[in-house]
Parts: sequence; C-alpha cells; structure tokens
Amino acid sequence: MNKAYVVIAHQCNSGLFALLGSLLRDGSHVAVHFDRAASPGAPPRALLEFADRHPKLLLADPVAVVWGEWSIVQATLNALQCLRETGEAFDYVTLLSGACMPTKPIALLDQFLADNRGSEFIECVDPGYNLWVKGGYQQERWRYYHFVNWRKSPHLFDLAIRAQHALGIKRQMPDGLAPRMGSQWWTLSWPTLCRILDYHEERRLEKFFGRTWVPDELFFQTLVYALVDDRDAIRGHGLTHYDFDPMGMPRVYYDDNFAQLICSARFFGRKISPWATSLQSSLAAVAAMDVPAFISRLDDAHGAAPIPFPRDDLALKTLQFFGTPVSARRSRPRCRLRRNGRYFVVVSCDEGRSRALQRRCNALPGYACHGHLLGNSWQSVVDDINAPAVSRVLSLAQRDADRRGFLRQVLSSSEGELPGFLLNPERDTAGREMLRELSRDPACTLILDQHWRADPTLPAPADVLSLLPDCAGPPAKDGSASLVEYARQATLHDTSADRLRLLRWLHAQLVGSACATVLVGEGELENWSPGLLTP
Amino acid sequence: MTRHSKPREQARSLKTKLGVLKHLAMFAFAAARRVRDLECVQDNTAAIAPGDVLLFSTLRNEQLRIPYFLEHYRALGVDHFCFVDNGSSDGFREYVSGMPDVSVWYTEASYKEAASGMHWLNGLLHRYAHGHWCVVCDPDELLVYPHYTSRSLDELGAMLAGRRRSSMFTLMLDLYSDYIDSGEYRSGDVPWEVCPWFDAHGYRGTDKSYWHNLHVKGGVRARQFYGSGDGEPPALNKLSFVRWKPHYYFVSSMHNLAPRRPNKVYEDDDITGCVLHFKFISAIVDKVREEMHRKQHYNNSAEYRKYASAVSSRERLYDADVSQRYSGWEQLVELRLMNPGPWWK
Repeated sequence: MNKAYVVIAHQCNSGLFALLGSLLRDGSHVAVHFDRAASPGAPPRALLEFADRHPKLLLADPVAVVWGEWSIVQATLNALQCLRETGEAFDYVTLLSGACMPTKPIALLDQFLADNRGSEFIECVDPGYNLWVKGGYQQERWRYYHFVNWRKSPHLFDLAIRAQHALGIKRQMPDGLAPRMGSQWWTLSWPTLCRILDYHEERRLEKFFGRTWVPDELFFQTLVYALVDDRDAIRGHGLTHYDFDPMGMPRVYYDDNFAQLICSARFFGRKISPWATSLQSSLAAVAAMDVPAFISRLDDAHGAAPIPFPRDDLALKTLQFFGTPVSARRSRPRCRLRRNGRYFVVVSCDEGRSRALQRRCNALPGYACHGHLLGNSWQSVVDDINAPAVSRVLSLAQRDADRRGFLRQVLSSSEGELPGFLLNPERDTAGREMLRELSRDPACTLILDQHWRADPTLPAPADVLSLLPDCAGPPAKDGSASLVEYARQATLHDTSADRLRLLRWLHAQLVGSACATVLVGEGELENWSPGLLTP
Repeated sequence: MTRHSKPREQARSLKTKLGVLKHLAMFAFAAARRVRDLECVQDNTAAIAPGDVLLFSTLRNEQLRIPYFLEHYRALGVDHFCFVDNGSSDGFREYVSGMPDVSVWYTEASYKEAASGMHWLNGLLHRYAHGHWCVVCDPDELLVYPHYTSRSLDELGAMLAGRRRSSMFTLMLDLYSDYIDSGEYRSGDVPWEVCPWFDAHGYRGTDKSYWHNLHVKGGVRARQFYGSGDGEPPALNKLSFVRWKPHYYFVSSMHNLAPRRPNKVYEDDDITGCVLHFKFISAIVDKVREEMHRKQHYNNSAEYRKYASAVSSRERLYDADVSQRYSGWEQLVELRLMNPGPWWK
C-alpha cells in the first residue's frame, strides 16, 4: 500500500516529531505544512534539520493559518501539490494535524485500506437534512459573505450575518455543487484528490470558498461528493478519532488515556497533549508494531483500562466495524446498548396489547422481555425486571442519572437470550426522551405499534412515500434491515392519518438510522411472531 | 419600595466596585513598597522562559519540608521556584544554592507588616509572573488536582486557558497523625505517610458576595480548635494556581484575588483542586514556641496559642467518625472534595 500523509502543524514539539517518525517509518511520503503565523520566515530549525535527515519528508509552501478561514484549506492544497510533484502514484492520502498520533499499528491500517480499496473515508453530511453544527451557524457558513473572524470579533460576525440576511443575500455554490459538511480530517484515494486538485485549478474555487466560514469543514467534503463516480464509496467518516467535551472544545488526551486511545475504533487520535511525552512514545511504539503483537498489547490495555470498553468497537473488529455508505449515514455517534447482541423495544401506547406480546415472548425459550424499564414509577420498573444484575440499582433517580448504563446493564445481563422491553411513549417520560437514542442504536429493533400516537405538533404533511427510500437504511447484513422494507410495504396498503404521521416521525427520527424498525398494523401485535428477530 | 430597589441596588453595586478598586490601589501601593524589603540573594530568574510554570512561596525555617516540596512540584512541572526567605537560619539557602531553577529573596523585615508575606509575593508576582501560570503556596502545602499523577501543570493551565479561566479554586485539606505532634517527619519523607488522616466531611462553603468567592470553613482545625465557638476558624478556600495578569493582587493571603472575576471559579463544571496542608508534624512544638515569642502571625497569633494549649494537653486529632486515610486524588474526587470538571474522563 503506497500511502502518503499531509500533516498540518503549528507547533514544533516532541509530539510532531513522534508523529512524523511513525508515519515515515514504512517509507511513506509525508508533506508537512508548518503555519507561517507560528514561525514567520522559515519553518523552525528543528523541523528543517529533521527534513534533511528524511528525504521523504516534504515541506509545503507555508501560509499564515487563521482558524476558520480559507488559509487552512490553502495549506492543505499546498501540501497536496507537494505530494503531486513527487510524481508518485499513491493509493491513499491521510490528512492529519500536528497534534494527532496513530492509535493502531500502521500495518493494520495497510491491511484495512487494502481490504477497502476504492472507499473514501470522509465525513460527508447533507446539511439540508442534518443539523451537523451543534449550536452554531450551519447554512450561514456559505450562504453569506464572511469578512470577519468570529474568534476575533463575535459581535461583528453576528451583525454581518444579520445584515446580509436583511438584505436578502443568498450565495449559491459554483457549478451547482451540493454542499456537504463534515470533520476536517479525512483519508482519500489519490485519484479523487487529483481530480479535486485539477478541478480547483480550473475553476479557482477560492473565489467562492475564500469567503465562507470554516471552509475546511466544507471544501473537500463538497468536492468529494461531487467528483466521485460512486457515492456509495464515501464511507461517511474519517479514520481519525476525536471527541468534544460538553463545552464544545476538542477533547485533549493525556498520559493516562493510552488504553482509551488504542481501543478506539479509528486509526489515528487527536488531540494529544503536547506535554504527554510518555503517551506519544507509547503510541509511536504501537504504530511500529505488527498485528499479532498489537493484539496481545490490546488485551493488556483492556485489563488495565479503568472503563470496560465494548469489545465490539475494538480495533480487531474495525475491519468489519466501518462500512455504512454515505447515503445511509448518521451524523451522531451511535451507541450500542447491548454489547453481546441485539435487543428489541416494543413501542406502544396500548398496555393490553404490549403486555400480551411480553407474555408470549417470555413463554418462548430464548426471549426475555422486560416490562417498562423506562417507566415513571420505580416499583413498576423493579417488578418488571427479571434480571438479578439490576438489583444493584436502587432508585429511579439512580436510573435517570445514567439511563444508558442502566439499560446496558439490564440488556447485557441476559446471556444467550434476546432481551427486550416495553416502552409506552405517552406515559414513560424517560422512555420518550430515550427514543431518539434507541432509534440510532444498531443493536436495537424497534417494534412500533401503529397505536403509537405521533406528536400532534409535527409540521404539515409531506409526501411520505417519496421520503421512505431515504430511510431504507444500510443494505442488510444480518437480515434485520429488511424489516424496514416490510414496514414500507405495509404502508402502501394503509394510508390512515395516524400512520402517515408516524412515518413522518420515523423519517425525522430515523433517517439513515442503523436501527431496524418494524411497523406493526392492526391486529398484528398480539399475533406477531418474534421469530422475525434473530438473537 | 420596589420602585426604588433598582437604583438602590445599582448604588450598592457601584459602592462595592469602588471598594474593590480602593483595595486594589491599596494593595498595589503596599506591594510596591514592601517589595523593597527584599534583597535578591540567588537570582536565576533569567532562566524563566515564556510559558514556564512558576511557584512563589514565603518561608521561615522550613528546611525540613523543602526536599519533598521541591520533588513534588518538580514532578508536577513547576519550572522555576521563587522563595522569599524571611530570616531562615536552618541552612535553606545553602541547600538551594546550586539549583538552577530556584531564586531566593532574603529579608528580615516584619512578616506581619507584609500581611503574612502577601505584599512581598504580590510584588514579586508583578515583577516576574505576567502571563505565567503560577502556584502560590506555603512550604507546608502540596497542591493536588484530578489526574495530577499523569497530567502536568502545563496541561492543567492549557485546559483552564481554553475554558477562559485564569485561576483554579483549591480547598485546603489539613492532614494529621493521631496527635498534633505525633507525626515524626524526617526530611524527604512523603508527608502523607507520616500524617495520613484528613477530615472526609465537615466542610461548609458560603458564597461571599463581596469578593465573589466561596468561603470554606471546617476540617480538623475547625473541629478541634474552634468547636466551642471561640473565634472564627481559618478559611480553607485558596486560589493556589493562577495565571497572573498585570492588574491582579492577592488580598487576604491567597484566599482571594482583586479584581473579583478570577475568584468565581467554582461552578459545577469547573475543575477544582486540593492543597494538602501538613502543619501538624512533630516539629510544630518548636514552631509554636518560636511563634508565641515572635507574634508575627494573623490575629496576634491566636491560632498558635491554640496549638500551644493543644500540644501541652496532648489533644487527639484523630476522630473515627470523620477521619479517613489519604489514598490519592481519586479518593478526594469520590468524596467530592475535588471536582474533576472537564477532566471527568
């Protein structure tokens, strides 16, 4: 695998050299862009000396990078141009920052890329359907002209947007490009990148993108979506693990986070604290490992880690773990509430019908249907749980403090059985709040009774059937996703207003969801066979 | 009545602000005057690089504690130590003389007149600390914070700066052995092995409106020496870790800063630390004897008079109900004496 990397750095410290050392080790090319604002004139001497010793390290034309502006895309393009001038035919190029580190052996990355040849690893969200920016401007990022940096003068930034809104300004993407957004960090195939470079050279796209806000989360995403032949090849996520704290600041990893990082389901991690030298050297050692050595190391880390990591997400399974094509992607991370298999949730407002299903399930071998685990009275929750593991949870408040943990505990406690529980969205407040999350869980099958009443405050009706293909979900791997197809067929014969609203809700909640959904019609819930679900 | 309340409130708030300004001016003046008492006897300040973490401390005859003190703070990532030596005669200056990361200022002027050394430190902070993260503490105080064993003060500072904080709230935690003087401490020992106990409960915090700080009382000193209501127990809230700015001044010895904004750093999602305070070791007997004679401490050394009577009557500090053995920062987080804030994972 002929790989290359682009590293955007603005600090010259031990972390940068640890990263560059690990990347260069197998003979890959690395193009480094060092921020001219951080080091006016020439790049720092240490970096120049390092480059002298490593012929495959290329230094890109430096530009002064300002956060949120075009300069960072220009820096990336300069580095790519540097790679292009080598004349090499790379397979994949990965964009990293100077604060990244590999969290898996580079050998495993090779194996992964070889198995997934032809895929593009970039987050690529349709901002028309998804709220990708939490608590900030989204469409406004390209709809208006941006001359002010929000970091320097937030009030003026807001004012400029409001003024342009009042004037009715609405910029359109050049050539009718469909805007796509996503994280800045990607791994793209070289032919795609060449196409982007050619297209940019021909069309001078900085005229448009130069006046957008945070173009690094827009430019490559939009062009990849426009220029690839097969859009299903876009995997909808990069290969870099990152996290945000509740304040919206990128999470920083320290010396004590080693186990967490190597257990993450990505090949690189950011941001690594520049002072965490022991973490940097341990990760550099991991990057140089071969796969069997890494597996044994992973088991060690697993034992030492303070949090039991779900084995599903471990690196060894990354090869299967990735894979939702972009047409079915979600923007938020999914969370498996059952580690060792699937589970189901019966969503119904009719107590009699759901209880009937529960009794029938429990009478069958291999099924364990709990009651209203997310109900409003603790007594009913306790009565309904038939798993001893939960007796440690003592009160409703304790459950509500960590609902996910509670569900995970209950659902994972039934070995060899398919667990499930009832949810009455009218009565169970906690359940209603969890529905959205349950619908995103790939381990979950939602069984929606048609008597589930939709929220009356939903917007005006839309053409449901035309929307449905969008929520078809990923192609069936284990057969479960075909249940959505079942739901779709069921609607064709029933156009009652309730069901229409339900489907609209479904669409709003479950676009691209990995969760399978069964829609059960009149008279079906009582007689419905749980055999459809495979434990 | 309600009609008048708003202007009245505004007037009161303006008065408070003027009061704070007055304090600021007083402390600036006092710092500028008292810092002239100091004579620099070991000057390595040229080694201070931008971004270094500095430590400021006033001491007198504390050589016993210094080796571990330096070891602890060097491990945390302190790059330079600035000591005000108030007339030590126990070989402190000889001990640190070869150390490139230690600067010493010597004075025999009155500790009391310098407001427990505060004016000296304010003066030095203004000379050397602008833009630096600084630990300001006494030699019997060891700063700990969540993950301190694996995350340095640089990392703590970077995280706080990212959240637009310029200080960290710390709770002073008194550690003790069974009796006030039964901890036989030898130079270089790990203090919490000699004085393993601390009060796990019994701390009360009140919001003080004037300085916008959280005033905390409690712990072993409140329990043992102020239990019967005689006098005000010592404040346990400190701002031990501050990114110094040109308009900052400590008022009331490291408990509060003026202006008031950096005092309000104890919200639910703020990280807080603890200062482990090792006063009650066997050497306190000599210290009490000396201080009773010098009368240089706060409130006419009232606290030392209490210690003197506690020493003579051999009071037991350990109380099975509230005393717990110190085992590390995780324990303090679990007891909610320390808030990990954004470092909860």
